[in-house]
Amino acid sequence: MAVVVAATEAGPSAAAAALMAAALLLPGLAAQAQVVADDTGGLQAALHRDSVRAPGGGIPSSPALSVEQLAWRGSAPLDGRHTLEVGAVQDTWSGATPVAIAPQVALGNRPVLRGAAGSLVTVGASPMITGRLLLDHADRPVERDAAGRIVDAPDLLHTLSSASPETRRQLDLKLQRRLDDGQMSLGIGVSQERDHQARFVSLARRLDLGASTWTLALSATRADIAAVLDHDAEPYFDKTPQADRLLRRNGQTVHQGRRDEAGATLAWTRVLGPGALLDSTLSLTESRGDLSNPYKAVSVIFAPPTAVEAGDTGDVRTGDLRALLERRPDQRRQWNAGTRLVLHHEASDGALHMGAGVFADSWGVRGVRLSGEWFQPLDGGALLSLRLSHHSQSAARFFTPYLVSHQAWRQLTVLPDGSITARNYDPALLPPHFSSDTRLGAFGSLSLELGYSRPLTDQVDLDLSALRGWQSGRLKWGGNGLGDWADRRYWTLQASLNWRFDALSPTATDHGDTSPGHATGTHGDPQLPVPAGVAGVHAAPGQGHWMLGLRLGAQRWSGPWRDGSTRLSDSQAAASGCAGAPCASLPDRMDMRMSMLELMVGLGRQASLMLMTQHMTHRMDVALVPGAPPQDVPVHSGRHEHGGLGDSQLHLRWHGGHPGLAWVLGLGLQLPTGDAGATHRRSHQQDGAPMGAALQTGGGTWDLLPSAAVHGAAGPWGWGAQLSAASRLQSANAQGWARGLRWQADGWLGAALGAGWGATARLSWRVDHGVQGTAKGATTPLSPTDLTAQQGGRAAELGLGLSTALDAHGGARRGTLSVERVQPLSVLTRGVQLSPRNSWLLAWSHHL
Amino acid sequence: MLRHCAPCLLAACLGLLLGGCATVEAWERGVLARPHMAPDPRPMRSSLRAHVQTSREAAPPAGVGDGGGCGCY
Repeated sequence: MAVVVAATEAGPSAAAAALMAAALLLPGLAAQAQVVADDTGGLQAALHRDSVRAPGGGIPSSPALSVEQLAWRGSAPLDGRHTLEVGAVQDTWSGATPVAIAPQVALGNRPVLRGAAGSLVTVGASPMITGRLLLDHADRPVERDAAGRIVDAPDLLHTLSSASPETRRQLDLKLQRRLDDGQMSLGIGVSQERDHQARFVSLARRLDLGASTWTLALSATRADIAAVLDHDAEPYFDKTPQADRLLRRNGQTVHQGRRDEAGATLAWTRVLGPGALLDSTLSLTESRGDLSNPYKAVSVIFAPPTAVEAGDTGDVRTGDLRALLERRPDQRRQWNAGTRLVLHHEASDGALHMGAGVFADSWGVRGVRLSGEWFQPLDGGALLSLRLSHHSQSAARFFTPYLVSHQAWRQLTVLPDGSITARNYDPALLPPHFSSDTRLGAFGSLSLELGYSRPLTDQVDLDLSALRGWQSGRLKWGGNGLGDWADRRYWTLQASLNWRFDALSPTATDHGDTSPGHATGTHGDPQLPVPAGVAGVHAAPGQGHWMLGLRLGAQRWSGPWRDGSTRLSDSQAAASGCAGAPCASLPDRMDMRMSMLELMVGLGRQASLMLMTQHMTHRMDVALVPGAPPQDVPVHSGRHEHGGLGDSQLHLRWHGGHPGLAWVLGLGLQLPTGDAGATHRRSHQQDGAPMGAALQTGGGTWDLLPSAAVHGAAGPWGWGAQLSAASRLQSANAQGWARGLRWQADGWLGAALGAGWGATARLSWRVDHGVQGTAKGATTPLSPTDLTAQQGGRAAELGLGLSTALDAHGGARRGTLSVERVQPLSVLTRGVQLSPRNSWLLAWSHHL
Repeated sequence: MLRHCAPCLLAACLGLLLGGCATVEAWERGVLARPHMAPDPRPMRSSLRAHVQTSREAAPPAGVGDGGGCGCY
């Protein structure tokens, strides 16, 4: 594993360090890797998108599945022997997803029509998981042609559903201890989704023996599943196969289960020669528990022999198509083996990476993966790569596009007394396990990836890659793969910044220069701690100086409700929060997470340019109001989520001052790179309504962001004040609304605590004019958050924080890490809103 | 079970055969220390690729077990 970590390095500095380590450390590469693995980090943004699926029948394609991922990882030495690795991943996905497979004649994707009578236009498709169709004597789907003759209808199609954005977050921590003959590591992690929580622990031991390195890793994972079935589709599902795992909670059907997984991985790395390396892995994973996917169904055509089509001779029967939730075995054993051979090509200085892997599991899936990648070093430390990979797999034994059962789904019998009894189908006549999840089908996939990386500085490199992939039954080794209906194309774009520092540990020294004028470039000098919530005092100390920063924020809102400064009960909020009409639903909690990457460069002695791009996620838990009157439109409850790229900012800053006092003036432009037009998914045969402004990741307008800050120091004390504002350059975005003026005043005091640590206390006053206008297509407000007039307000807050200086060796280059907890002191809301709760901010910056 | 393991054992044996018994001294390892000679020169790229594969294929890459959710996409 450590060998893998070593690969993060690039550029002259990293290469020199690796070369030195290789020369000095005997015998294995792993030890070399460990030396350069300390003090590294990376931030990655990626976008994955599937090809747009066409439901057939002239129906326009469904929205493509889209996944946005933000990943961050870092490694820092704790002392001479211990290293801490931290990794965080957040991915947000939305778009079309297959829920089942059905014969095309069953019309699983019904057209959605719009327009006036007589001029209706098909604008989309709506999933339909039940229906009727004809079968011949061999249980093959048939249909009548225009002349009324029976003809084969073998074509299949995915029945596609769509999903609102959902976000998964994962955090991993790993503590490594260096040993004389290798390394020991202990890792823990957690993955959280709306319906899935997984916790995992791993223990690994690496042993360096001669020219080989062996690593044995053991891992255990426990996942708790609480999947809320789609309330729109749920009534149409036959839930019998998973009846023992379903329960009713808060008016919703929840699939509840637990999955335990234990794994062992044996890895072996061996130096074959001065330019050849072999890396092999063998792993075994045992999974037990609930392994079914609660969102996947199987089309079962119930066609009893008696269901003869009227007017036919008995060769054609009518099938009753029903969607049964899938059922997989409760145990799965997976074997996975892979080998990678790395060969150096002396003439070009390039490297060929050839990989081969095989996979087998107890469900009958067999897979083979082959890959080849060429890495070509270019001038200036850049690296160009081209990767070709092929994967082929057979189907699980229980995979089936659909089932035919020679029994009635429901048999009605008239008793002699005239009463009617209903008898459901016998599940024992169905296979014990069945799934139509295409991932368990037979197919092959081919992908081509082009990558380019280059050093930005001697510590930071930029990595870009684009992957194009094709998945098809025709690409499976030996044929017999899924039909064209399951083909898909996809692409993945990725950009990451990877950094490497010589050391990253709290400084214990005083670097002497504590003048504020100098410190404007250091934001967080041990003598001048600056709160994490203040961004406007950043400035590069000179032309060509670069600064990299990461800012994380988390904010929560929950009860009680407020109207101005008055607290409201839930019933009062429901009565007064929807423009006079009683509300049908009330959010009980809202969360916002923000991850912002900052990149600054000095344009001159007193001017800096800063680019800030951010990823936002919003979450809102909504409950129905008991006793609310019925509505004309669907009332949504449960969790609503949205996430993705937020608005970006470009700031120009001027700074100056003298010892003891510094000033920074800034003018920023906010670019509408976020999403201001997200809608809820279509349900109940109605298009989804626009999400409220509080759930959007962007404002949709161009904004001006002026700011002015002054700060100073006197002995161990620091102080500062900042005034900042956001003024909209447009009165409305494309959706018809715009955020209003927002300004904020901050004042803070800081104290140096010694050993590089500082403490801060900040008071802020914020005025937010909320949202102006109303989104096009907005429906009658059902919840207080649907009203744009009920956003924003005034708030006074107190922030208490800690900061520490992070110095590279020699103290020449500085970084800071600061954290701040912000507590509302006084809140005056515009209209009926939830109360803001404590928020957390974490800021890290480093001068390159 | 032996049938399941056969491909894996074959791959492991192949690896051992390829391994040979070469001894490479420390001063001969300069090329191996080059960034593009690492077994995985771009681990963040690989991690993303593995995550997509895990979500889309029945066979996750060896050693991948990030515990990610139901894989709805």
